Amino acid sequence: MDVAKNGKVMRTNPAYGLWLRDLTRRDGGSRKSSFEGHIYKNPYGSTQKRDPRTQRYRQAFISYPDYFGEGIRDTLFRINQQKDNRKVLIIGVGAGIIVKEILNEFPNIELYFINKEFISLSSGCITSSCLLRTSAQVRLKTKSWKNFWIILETYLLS
Amino acid sequence: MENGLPFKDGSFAAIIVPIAVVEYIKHKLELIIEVKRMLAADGSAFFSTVRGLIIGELEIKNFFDSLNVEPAAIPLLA
Repeated sequence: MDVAKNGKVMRTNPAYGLWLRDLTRRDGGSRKSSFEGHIYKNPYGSTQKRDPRTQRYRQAFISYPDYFGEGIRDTLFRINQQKDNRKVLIIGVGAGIIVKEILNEFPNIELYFINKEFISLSSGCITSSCLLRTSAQVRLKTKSWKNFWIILETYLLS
Repeated sequence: MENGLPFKDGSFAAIIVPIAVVEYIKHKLELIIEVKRMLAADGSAFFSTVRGLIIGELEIKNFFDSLNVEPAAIPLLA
């Protein structure tokens, strides 16, 4: 395929474009930004550690909109405006900041939280004591929040 | 999970299982059955995963067919 750029006709490499589409982005390179400003001399031999596109996906989730999808947020918004049955159960949110953001944005929701390790206990699968300890820390930090329940430790000790 | 989760039937308007959680749960089938039990009649359940299949070797479409519910995210499996 030939394209005109700066008054000159340049030939693109179909195989090179295919590599960009298939391997560099989770969405298959459908977004226009996939092809902007990043050139590789040897796509299969060079490191991608300094590639800003891959670094973008290595970033931690910084807020709940990144963690939940739009459908979940729309549902939370609808439940927040309901007059009855505003209970929402979230299974396995290990990051307290996400729960805090949900409560701040949807204060009418009666939020329940349960840890995924608790669900796996009956099978003899406690994946990590560190994870359980982290959940306990979340509970201690957020015990004053209204309508917020963590039932993990209660049922571990019962 | 042997005695089920400690919530009444149909008590939740929404149950959310966020991304990268289902993959860590061994008894996925029991979990989804419990989610269906705790969910209200007009409630919504969300299972988010990075893979096309959330219950291991069992295909999600056949699983939801057995539960007689309509999943909203089946096109993502294509």
